[in-house]
Amino acid sequence: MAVRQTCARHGRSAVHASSKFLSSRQYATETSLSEASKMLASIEKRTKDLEKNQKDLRTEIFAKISERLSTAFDLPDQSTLSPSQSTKKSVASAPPGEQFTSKRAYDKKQEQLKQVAKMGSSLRVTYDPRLAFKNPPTTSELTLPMLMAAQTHLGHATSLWNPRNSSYIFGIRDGIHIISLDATYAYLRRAARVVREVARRGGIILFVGTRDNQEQIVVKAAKMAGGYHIFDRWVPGCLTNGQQILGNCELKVVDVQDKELPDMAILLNGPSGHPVLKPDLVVCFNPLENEVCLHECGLHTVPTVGVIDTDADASRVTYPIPANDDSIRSIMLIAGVLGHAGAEGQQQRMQAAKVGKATYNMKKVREMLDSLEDMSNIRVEAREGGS
Amino acid sequence: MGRLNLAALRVRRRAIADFETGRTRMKPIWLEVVADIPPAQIFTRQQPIQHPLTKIRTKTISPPSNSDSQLPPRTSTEVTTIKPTRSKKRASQVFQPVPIRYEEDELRKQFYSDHPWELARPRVVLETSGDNYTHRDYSRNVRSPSAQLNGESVVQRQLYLLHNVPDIKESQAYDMARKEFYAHRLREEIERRVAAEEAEAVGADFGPSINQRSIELENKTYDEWARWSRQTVIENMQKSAAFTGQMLEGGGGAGGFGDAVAQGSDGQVGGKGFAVQ
Repeated sequence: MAVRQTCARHGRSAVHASSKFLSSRQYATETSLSEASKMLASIEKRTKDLEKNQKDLRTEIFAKISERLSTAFDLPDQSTLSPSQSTKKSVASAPPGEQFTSKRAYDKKQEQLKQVAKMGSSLRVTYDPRLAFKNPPTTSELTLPMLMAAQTHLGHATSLWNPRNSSYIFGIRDGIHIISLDATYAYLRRAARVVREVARRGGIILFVGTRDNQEQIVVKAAKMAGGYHIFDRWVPGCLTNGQQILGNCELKVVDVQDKELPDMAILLNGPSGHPVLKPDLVVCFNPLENEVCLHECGLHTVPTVGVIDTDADASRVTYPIPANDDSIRSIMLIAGVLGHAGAEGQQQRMQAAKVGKATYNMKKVREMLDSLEDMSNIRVEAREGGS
Repeated sequence: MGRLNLAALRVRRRAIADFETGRTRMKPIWLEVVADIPPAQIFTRQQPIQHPLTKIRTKTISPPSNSDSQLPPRTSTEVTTIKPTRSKKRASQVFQPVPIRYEEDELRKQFYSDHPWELARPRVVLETSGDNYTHRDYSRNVRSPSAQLNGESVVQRQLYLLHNVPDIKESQAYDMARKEFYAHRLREEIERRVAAEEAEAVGADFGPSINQRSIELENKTYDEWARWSRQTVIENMQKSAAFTGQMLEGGGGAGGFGDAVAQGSDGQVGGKGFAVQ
């Protein structure tokens, strides 16, 4: 009756708790009284031992600390003493093996450690996943096995394919399309040539790779090719609405030998502004996510290079590179090759510049500068006439 | 944008048109580049690359009966090509890629169906430079230099035998490769055990073994069950004690009895009874 009432008042948890208590009581009755007393005695003994240990430890720690303090504060005083005396004292205080009585002993220990360090096994044939990043191959060094090892041949599931890529596809294996390595090789070389030539003519090359973990790859490629990079997001309208988005960006004006021309920079960065620069080549590592970017490039006649997987649309870019765009290793290799090509082009440009030649048409540059000067003069005249 | 957008492919044409109509004042610097290196042809539908299955076998050629019989028997390599069995292709499938097939596929299938647990072992699938296969050599036995011993070794060894041993059957090659594999696996196992023993002899501690761990878990489960059963027994006893107590107290004998019956037949009804009280 009592149990039922508590149940009604407190719900089932109360009954559960009470039964828990009962069950624990059941266990308690199983152990005899003598055993319990024994256990109590042992616990008491244990606690006493622990306390004793604690006391010992405490005294030891205090002793050590006081010793350290004394040595730290006494050191300047001890410096007046002879070195042999001071060493003797330290040896007496410190445990044996940690302190050295002489420099000879110290040297001996160091020699021993050196010998021991050589022991054990060493791995000779190892794989470094960042090798293609640190030391990317040039176009001439590129081989088909390299492309295969970098997984550039792996496409998407056959159901996801874009039939426009049918000429790049080698076959079907385990439900995915395999991209032909021959096609990848040929198209990559072609794209690398484009990058090299544009870099040689002093064009602006923009590397776009906005997937996760592509940041370092994109930056490295841009650095190598003397280009620019985007790794977070292509702001829609950078080309179609460039004057609004990039109009206030500062301009760096350089001469043939890449030396800065501050006067020209002032002229261009002035209140009259400057037309927004358009890239001369856009290299996109993930065309699927950057459709807007490629669309704008198409509208503004900017040639594009893109890594086209089996599910991407090859007509979005001017120079497709049929390859796996989901593998970081694959992108690393492709970006490395393109970066190298860009570096080669920049090198050729600089070599020509040393002789005093420009690899691009200077006449047009002069025309542009003249027109800019005219424009600024007109403004000045207009202002003077107005006042 | 559902239609074909050829803007990217026609950048050069567009740039020239822009310049000629005076829309842009200068030709872009990349104009010559795109002229020198034209964009690739796309949308051209070519016949897909065919992948016929080829099998290589070595056969002995018995010397002709009329010639001198003391000549040693010669061997020749035969390459047979098996075309896919698909007889008729629909017009829409003509340009679709074709499955890639290799001779090893069947051998691999057989090995892994006979040894499914081989698939559960960890495997290295990393290609370091792409030409790892050049270091492989299955001519001596199933164990190749610089390769892990696994099902793939058996398949490659079997393939080597099929290609090079005259008049060998697939089953014979399979048995040879398989038995070599078993011997090597056994050897590996023994090596591992000896290494563990040696390590233990010089003070290594690998923790409790799998058996010890499983026994511990089993004991834990038994103990838990014992605790639960004790509790259940007590709860049941208490329940029954409560009912009998009510009956004996007799605060309305018939009603009490009715309650007990109700609880026995249906727990929910009994529960309601509690709430009313």
